[in-house]
Amino acid sequence: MRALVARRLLQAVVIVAISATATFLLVQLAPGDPFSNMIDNPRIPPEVRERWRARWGLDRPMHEQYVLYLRNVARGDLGWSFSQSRPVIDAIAEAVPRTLLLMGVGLLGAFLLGIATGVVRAGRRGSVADRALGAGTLFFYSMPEFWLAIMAMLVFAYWLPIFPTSGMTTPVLYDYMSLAGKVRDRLAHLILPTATLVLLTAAIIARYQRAALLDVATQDFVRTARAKGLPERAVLWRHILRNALLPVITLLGLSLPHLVGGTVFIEQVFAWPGMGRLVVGAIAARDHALVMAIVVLGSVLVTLGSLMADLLYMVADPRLRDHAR
Amino acid sequence: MLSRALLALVLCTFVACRPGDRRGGDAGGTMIISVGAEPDALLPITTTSVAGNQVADIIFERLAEPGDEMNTRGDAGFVPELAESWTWSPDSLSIAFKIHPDARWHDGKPVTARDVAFSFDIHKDPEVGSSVAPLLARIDSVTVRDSLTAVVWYKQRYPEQFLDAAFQVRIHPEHWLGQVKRSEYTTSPVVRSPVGSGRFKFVRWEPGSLVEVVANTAHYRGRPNLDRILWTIAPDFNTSAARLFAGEADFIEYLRPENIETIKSRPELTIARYGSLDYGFMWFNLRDPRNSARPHPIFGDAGVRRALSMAVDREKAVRNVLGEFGFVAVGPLPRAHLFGDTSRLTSIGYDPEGAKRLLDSLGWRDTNNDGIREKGGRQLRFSLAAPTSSQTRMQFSVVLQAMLRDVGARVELDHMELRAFQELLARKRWDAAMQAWRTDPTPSSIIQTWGIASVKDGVNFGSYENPAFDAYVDSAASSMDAQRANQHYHRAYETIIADAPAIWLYEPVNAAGHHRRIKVATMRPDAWWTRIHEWHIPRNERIPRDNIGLRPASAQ
Amino acid sequence: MTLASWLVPLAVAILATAAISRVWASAGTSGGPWGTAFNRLRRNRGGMLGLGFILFVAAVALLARWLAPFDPNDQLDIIALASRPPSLAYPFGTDIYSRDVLSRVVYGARISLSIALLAVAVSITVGTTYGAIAGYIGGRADAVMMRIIDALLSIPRILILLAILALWGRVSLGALVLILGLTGWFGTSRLVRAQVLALKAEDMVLAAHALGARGRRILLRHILPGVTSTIVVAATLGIGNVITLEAGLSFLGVGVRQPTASWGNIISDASADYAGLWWISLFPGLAIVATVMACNIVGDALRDALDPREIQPA
Repeated sequence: MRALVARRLLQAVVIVAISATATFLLVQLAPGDPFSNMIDNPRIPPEVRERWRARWGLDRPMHEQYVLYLRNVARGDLGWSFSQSRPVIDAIAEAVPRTLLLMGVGLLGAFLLGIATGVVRAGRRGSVADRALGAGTLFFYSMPEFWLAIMAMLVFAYWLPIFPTSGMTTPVLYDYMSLAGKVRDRLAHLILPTATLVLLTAAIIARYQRAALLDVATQDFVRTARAKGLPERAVLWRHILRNALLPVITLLGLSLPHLVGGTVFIEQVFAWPGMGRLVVGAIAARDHALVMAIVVLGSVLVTLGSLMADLLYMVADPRLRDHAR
Repeated sequence: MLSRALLALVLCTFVACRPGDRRGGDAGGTMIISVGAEPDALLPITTTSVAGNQVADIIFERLAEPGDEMNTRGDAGFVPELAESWTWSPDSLSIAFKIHPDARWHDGKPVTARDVAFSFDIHKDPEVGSSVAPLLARIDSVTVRDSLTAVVWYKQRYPEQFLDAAFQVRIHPEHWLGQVKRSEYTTSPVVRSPVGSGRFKFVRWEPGSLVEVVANTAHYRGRPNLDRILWTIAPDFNTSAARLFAGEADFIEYLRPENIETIKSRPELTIARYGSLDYGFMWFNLRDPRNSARPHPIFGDAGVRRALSMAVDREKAVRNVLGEFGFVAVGPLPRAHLFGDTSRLTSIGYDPEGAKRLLDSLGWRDTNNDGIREKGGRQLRFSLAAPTSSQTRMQFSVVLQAMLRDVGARVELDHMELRAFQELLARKRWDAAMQAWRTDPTPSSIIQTWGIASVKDGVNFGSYENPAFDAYVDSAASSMDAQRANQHYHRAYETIIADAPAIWLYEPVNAAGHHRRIKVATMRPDAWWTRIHEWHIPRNERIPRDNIGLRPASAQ
Repeated sequence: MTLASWLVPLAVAILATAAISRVWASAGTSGGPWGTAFNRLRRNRGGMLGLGFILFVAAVALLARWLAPFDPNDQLDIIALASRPPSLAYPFGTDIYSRDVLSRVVYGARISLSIALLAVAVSITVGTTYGAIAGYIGGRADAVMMRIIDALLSIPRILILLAILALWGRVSLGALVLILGLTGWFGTSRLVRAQVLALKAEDMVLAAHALGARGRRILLRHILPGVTSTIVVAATLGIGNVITLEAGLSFLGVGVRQPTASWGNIISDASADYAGLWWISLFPGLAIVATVMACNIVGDALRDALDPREIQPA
């Protein structure tokens, strides 16, 4: 088991290294650099821009920059963010918890809602509830993330001004609120973005969950349990659901890329100052170091996610555990 | 204390007295400015962004500011700021600036002539790479006569020599900035908490979120009316506008025509208009994008450029895109540079039939009836680039595309992300592009954008070259006589308008949206915030966030 | 054009669906694994409804010239008719350039559907080839090929697309299709490889090997038909996916170029003020949701009928 984990970890490192190199190439080959915005400023002569480029080593050949970048990263230096005027690490350290908050709440809600939906549907297969929930699931599953976010904002922030339009807290006034007020303010800002994320992700989970439940429900041990005369409810809870949770655990890992993608759009629409907004801004500003760091971090997150899912799967499924040993 | 009050009273009587100075007892209130972009830096010498300049201008000061009439020649109309007074040497080759004796940095240290000398030095230092450096080329040196007197020495006398010294350089504290290595002005953590001498003091900068400044109650010209100003940073224009509409912000520096209805539907909001020094145009590349030694196959011919100009109904286009927030541009300059004399400048008028006849006579005819004209096997077909960051320019490009189609020109739109657009311009690999220039307060700056010298080393990416135009601008800029200078400028404008290196489209009227309780002062076209210390919020109109007072934010 | 002209694509869709059902019915009687699948498909009412809707949208796209009341790029009157909310004359309203939104949505169906179809064709081709080769060769080459896929899958697709499109700018329609296609095949290749591995172990293939059949022949004759069902389901789900992606990219300002209308960039035409110009984003958005839903329903129906497990969209 330990050897297996070590091997998977090594693989993960290789995966991240490949994706980091690919990103570096992509970013470096693209036109423009952090100082491109000086180009069409009549007050800044070209030599000033050249001096800036030289100071940051942007005039050196690409392979030199690559080696330099790797060396810096190995030393724990992720570089300087031009668009944020501060070290990349600071910008990321600030944004990561915000995105994790959004994703964490979103994921938790999505799992609860998604599994519940799946259970209800599998439990009453073919009923009106099953079909209505099925249609609802499919509806949200088919929706572009940003469009749902825009519509939610239109309805609940503009036409019925219940929630704030954007941001994480009320600017300025937040700092002068009481503790209870602060909590309330944060919650109010959290609801629309997370609700959007929950609906979108729950739809994915519910689809898989129902399939998994139906899959397990036709297996031998369930038939045995039924034959023994256990009540249907007990069969569902004790035998089917427990085993059907396994594929959903894997889904946790698999849905991460989806979640990251969805978060980019939702942060953009609701001006949530997290990683998604950071990366869109960084790309626009040709902030290469920041783009690199975020994309690589995203790939680390996804790789870790699938690694964790694999391990969880092994722990949860005794057959695999024995096999691995 | 009494003498200070007396002095204030005297000053108030004799110097141009500002309403704000009288309202000492009514000070207070918080103003939140919504911006759609992060400042790049808060240090005046390194910032190149609009948001950064706003904050930097409010925290730091110049020796003197141009008055509202925006004169740039000599020192007429200039309002003293850090300099209490100044004296010209008889030969006009040096100006001695006397620092206000009560001026203090925000950390309490006095502002001295050494700080002035230091500031000029860092602005000229190539190691720092300030964008102002080229403008200071004719300043020879700055010496310290005594602790409060700095003397600026010039290599030659010229009409705008006062402007260059008093306005282009903002004064930085030597004792504070001197501790930072000059190559690290952008990266040092020290410069993220700037120490200035202005009416507001820096409090905090949380990237992606906000910048906060608070009233400098110890300022030598009296405290500002507002207690604090915050910039709340949104990722884009639409989100920043939404914050104003939602009551989360009090002021936005410019609105788009679509926003008018929303503003009108909110009784608490209103619009304040102010001038602009911008002008926008559809740029023709006069050189072949594939080989810059050759003229452009279509736009190399001034006749074609004129014909395409005649095909555009600029009045209609401006009304669609900018509504009441814009005029049709007269040429490569904002109206402010004409000093009210627009009557004699004639631009190319809307005449689609004339455009078709002109194109026909130039040999561009639609021989195969596909709706596109041809000449010598080449179609009248070109790409028009525009940056996605500018809603205005994108919208103009789509409108122009349809108008030019009607005279048989096929336009392919190339909407791209801003940085890619800028790189494209600089590489000169384009046919036509939507561009806008923000001009300096001085008309002589036109040489930087359309002069021959900036084809090679500057921003004249369309490669417009006309020695006559350059000569007129040169004579105007070096003429000490204002009347003569204006005549020369006029000829320069006529020349370039006739050459049609671009279709001059629009000149925006800036419209700021703000909460009614905020009473704004005159807003200068190039920098609306210059008199922000006079803005105030009447006591009876205040809302909860106005009553925070000067106390700092509670612990985060 | 009158409302009646909309009966044409409707009739086309109904007739075509009925015809397909008839063909499947006759194929179903012939038996075999595909026959049962067709039979099951035909009886899936939701699936047939979804199929009908997709055919309807396709018919609208083909008949756009007759259905659209205006030229989609015509600026009717940039002063008087700009940004009009829905009315009888302009049922979906007009956009900021005074173009008729209904006409743009109708023509947008063409662009959005063709982008999706072509991009999916690209990713299916590349993904199947890559996966089949990896699975067939096996060994170390397979391991390396799969690690590369893992790496590519670990970067969220939207980030790759955003990086490519935003950084490079100025992308033609063809290039957009290629980029969408070339970033969408990773999952497919993994599925195909797994299928190939499973099939390789089957007797039929082993026997062919024993009889001395060459690699390419085995791949084409015995293995590819076995993965067809996987590919069909992945493609159907993939079409819906690409429609959504294209819309998202247009929303971020890096999708289809003006003046061409795609459903995504019609929505982004409202970006100046989503609240004030709600009709510009609402109608194309509904078109997207309905079409993607139909694709997913059909994809699900196909999956149920063919029963390959856990197929991910291309």
